[in-house]
Amino acid sequence: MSFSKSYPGALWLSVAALSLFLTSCGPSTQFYREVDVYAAQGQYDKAVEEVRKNEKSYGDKSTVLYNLDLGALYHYAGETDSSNKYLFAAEKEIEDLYTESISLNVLSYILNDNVIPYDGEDFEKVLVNVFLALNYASKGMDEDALVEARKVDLKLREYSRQYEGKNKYQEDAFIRYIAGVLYENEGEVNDAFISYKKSYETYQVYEKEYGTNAPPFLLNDLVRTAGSLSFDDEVETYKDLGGRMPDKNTQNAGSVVIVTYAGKGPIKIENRPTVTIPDSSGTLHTFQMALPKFAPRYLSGRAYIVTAISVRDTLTTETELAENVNAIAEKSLEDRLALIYLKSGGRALAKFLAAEKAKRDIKEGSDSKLKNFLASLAIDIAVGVSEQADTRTWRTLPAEIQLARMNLPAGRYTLSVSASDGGYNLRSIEVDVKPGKASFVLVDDLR
Amino acid sequence: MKPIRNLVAVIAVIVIAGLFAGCGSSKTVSRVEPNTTIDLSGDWNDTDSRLVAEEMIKDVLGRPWLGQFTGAKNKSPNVIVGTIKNRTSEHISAITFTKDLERELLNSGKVTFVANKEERSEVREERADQQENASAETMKKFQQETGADFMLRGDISSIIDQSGDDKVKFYQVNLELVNIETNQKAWIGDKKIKKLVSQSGSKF
Repeated sequence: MSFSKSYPGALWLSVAALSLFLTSCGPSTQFYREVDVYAAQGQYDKAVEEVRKNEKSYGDKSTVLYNLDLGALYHYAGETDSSNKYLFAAEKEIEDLYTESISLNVLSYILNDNVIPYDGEDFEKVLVNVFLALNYASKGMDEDALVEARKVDLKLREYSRQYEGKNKYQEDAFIRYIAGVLYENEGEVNDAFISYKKSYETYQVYEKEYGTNAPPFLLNDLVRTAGSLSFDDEVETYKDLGGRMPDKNTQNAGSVVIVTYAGKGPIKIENRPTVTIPDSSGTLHTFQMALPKFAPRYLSGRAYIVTAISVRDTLTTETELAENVNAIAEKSLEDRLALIYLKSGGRALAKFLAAEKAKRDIKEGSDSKLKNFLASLAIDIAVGVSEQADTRTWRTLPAEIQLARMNLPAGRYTLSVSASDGGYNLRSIEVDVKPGKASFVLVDDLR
Repeated sequence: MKPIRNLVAVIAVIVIAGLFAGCGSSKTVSRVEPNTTIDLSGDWNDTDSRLVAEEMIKDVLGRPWLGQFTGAKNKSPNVIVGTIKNRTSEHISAITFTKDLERELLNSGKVTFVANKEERSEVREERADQQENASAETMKKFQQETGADFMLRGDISSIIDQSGDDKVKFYQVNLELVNIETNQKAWIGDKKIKKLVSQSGSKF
């Protein structure tokens, strides 16, 4: 009598034990509370320290997340060199992870996705380059910022190809807008116009999918760039939509683009939908799947007032929602689960079928009722314990990115940004507005 | 009870494989000649920079503008390397490429060469410092700088075509030589590089 014949339950028990052991390698989320609190208070040095202290908690399957977290925290802190270092490290790792390990994938099929190295959701991979672009842009390194914007374009094209064009997140309206500003800075008005146009078109998709409208100033940018290219038809088109030609007396003007990160980004939680399927004999079986699902931690509604004060005058504007990370995250994950994950059969189903088969085999070969019962119980425990959703997320992302653009006569300004809820003054920054140039100001409010 | 025994074997193999998959390889270092072509990531690298600079400078110096200028002015032209714009989706070190161009130009012996904007301002600082601190015999004079006759400028652009495991990278370097006095373009040249980068979608 072989081992597996006398103790079939032992095999499943070992699967259960193994899964417990392996899932404990996933990142612990305990210390994240501290990171969240420090980030919300803008104490990024302490948040960074907390992440560094807990490097081991991330485990060797989530080193990408460690780099992403540090990259984001340094980005908010304005330490662009450190931020670039960690974001580039994450980008490189993600690229290398394109080569998937077959053995780990099979193992994940038996246990769960936590045994596979985390390489990020599509939107997370795109936001790596968005942050890098803004790191460069905030330092006035427009050419390098544009390199990052072009990388976003390449990535999104590749993802759409993988999804055969059925995914919702095919273009990023926000980075297109930023690219438009950067091209205009570089004096490449034609490229700027095309970027603004793509941004505007993508905001039509954003409106439908995520409820995000194009910021009103985008139409002015379209009219302005089309005007200087003598694209008369386009000038009329965007004027009809509400765009305005810049005043003649603001020809010496430059602008400030204010990028504001609002709210804590979404996290993944486990969702356990119940699925009922018939087996070959027609008997219905009901079992639970464990799937990740995004849950927002911030509900929109916060607006920011930007005030620019110079020796001559005071100007005020309000930020507009430009990138709803909550909504993009939710839809991207739904797309991935529906178009890729469930299409491949789903891990839970495969495991369920294997378990049912094992139970049948036990019944046929076993002589004792107790042994039979214990073995079946072990199988159920193994299936239940090992079936766990992969809830790993880049948790230091914002929930929203808001945008404001102020066209100002060249000169020195004191810029202050305050949130509509409570009037808490987030930033007070000195900005030099140069004629014909846009400077970037990044503001963080991860409450 | 064959199916279960088989399953045991399969799981054992997978678990062992999974454990080994995490192991990294040990690091080795070997020295190579700087002109050896080594392609790792498929990105723009030192070899591309060097080869493009060599070929393009060879081209520009073999064209009629050089003879025309030397014939008319009875001196070799003074050239400066301006901005080389990066329009690719990679962070290309413009400094390395500019230096490669400068080196090829200067070493040809057919043109003389002036320092670029940043270098000039550093040299000017030094000259200003000399006025106060250097001895009269060694002190260098102001307003004796050589003005350039031509400026070499251009850009690097790339097109990337990707499908699954394969990626085709196409780089084009455009350079033009502009007569600083007349704004006339004396020469336009380009050089193309095409690479196929493959990354396997799976490993064991």
